[in-house]
Amino acid sequence: SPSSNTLITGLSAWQVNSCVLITSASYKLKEKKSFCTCKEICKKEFDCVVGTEERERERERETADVVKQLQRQFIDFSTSLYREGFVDDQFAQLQKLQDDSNPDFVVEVVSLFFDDSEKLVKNLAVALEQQVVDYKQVDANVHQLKGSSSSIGAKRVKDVCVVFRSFCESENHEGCLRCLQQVSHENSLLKNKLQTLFRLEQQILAAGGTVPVLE
Amino acid sequence: MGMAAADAQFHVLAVDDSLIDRKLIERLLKTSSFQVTTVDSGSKALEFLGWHDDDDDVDVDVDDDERNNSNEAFVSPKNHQEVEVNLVITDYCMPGMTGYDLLKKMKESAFLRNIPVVIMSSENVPSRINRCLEEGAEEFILKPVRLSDVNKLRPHIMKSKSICKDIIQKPENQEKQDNNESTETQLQSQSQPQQTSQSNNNSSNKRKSMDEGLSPDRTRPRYNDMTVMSN
Repeated sequence: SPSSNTLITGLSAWQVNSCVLITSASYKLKEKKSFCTCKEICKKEFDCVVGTEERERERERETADVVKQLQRQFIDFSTSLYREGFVDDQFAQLQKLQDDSNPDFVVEVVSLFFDDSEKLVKNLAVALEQQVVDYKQVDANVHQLKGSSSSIGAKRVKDVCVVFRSFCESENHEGCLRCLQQVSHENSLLKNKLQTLFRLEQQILAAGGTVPVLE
Repeated sequence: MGMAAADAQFHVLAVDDSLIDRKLIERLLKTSSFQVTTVDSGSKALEFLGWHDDDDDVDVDVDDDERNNSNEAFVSPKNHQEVEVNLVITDYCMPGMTGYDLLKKMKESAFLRNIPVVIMSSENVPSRINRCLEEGAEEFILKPVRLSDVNKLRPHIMKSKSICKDIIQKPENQEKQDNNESTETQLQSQSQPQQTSQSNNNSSNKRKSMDEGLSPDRTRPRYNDMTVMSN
């Protein structure tokens, strides 16, 4: 005979309900857990198999809805990043390089980028404040920023760097200062955007979903 | 041909002063099943390769049993390379020693000249590209580097390995070369496998076809020196 707390399986919901009413000596009711919700008729407190399954399915449906919603948000947000020129195809290349063995690759590279870019922006500010500006030094820093922004697909930042370099070449102080301001601004914007993107990714994963891959 | 399987683990040494680019190239190479070592300067690269200042043009005339494959630069008793390196990929713009300087040093060294070298640059400067190719670089890749670029590396490794295997398999024709002169010589068309023809058909501005008069497989003067000549 089955041990106590055995769920009666293989029976239809009605049968299960009926079995409870039997309450035979060979079965004990489970510890009070929750009311069975499968049928109104069943008023006993026990874990009806069907009720459990139904509750489980309901949870799954809710989670799936949440995941779908997050995935939609992710896709919309990603698409807007590309459309608005924050990132270009090189960023997509980075995402392609991420896999289960390197699940944090993009976040790591992006963090390195912002560490680097923030440092370079500081250096540029100092360099442009000097009485006699060393434009070669300024250009070297911009060149580095251009390179790293290009490597991660930070399109807007890179585009400003291109203009910045030409102002370095012509030793245009005013132009350089404007570019510095712009590059700093674009850098901050991008940082916020990518943080939002990564947050969405984490939410999807936490909800048990997979992050969509944009084509 | 008896070539090692195309999925053999090849070791690439990547040289770049940018941390981000090093991380990127490392990931790209590992994704393509290469073993990778990264260094941040040309001088560290030379150190890793076991190069020493006094070893320019050392004659590669060593005992056969020490040398089983002359594209693996581990030969001379003075030099000691812990790990075999099958290809070097280097950034052009680096402080101190540029990628070009590194390339030049490697080609001047009998010890290192057979390791294929690929140059990367963020700038598309034709004169720079030509200079590198003429100095013996296999390929010039524009940054940012992508997976499709990395896929082009394997043929360069395979090609250099196949040339050396030809030599080893025909000991009676093997010539211990005096490496001072690189003469332009005709390659016998049968000695080169066709596997590299795909890399020769790139029409991108990245590569210059150097020896149009020779067989379809692109060759370089230095490799010609070592190729088996049969009359």
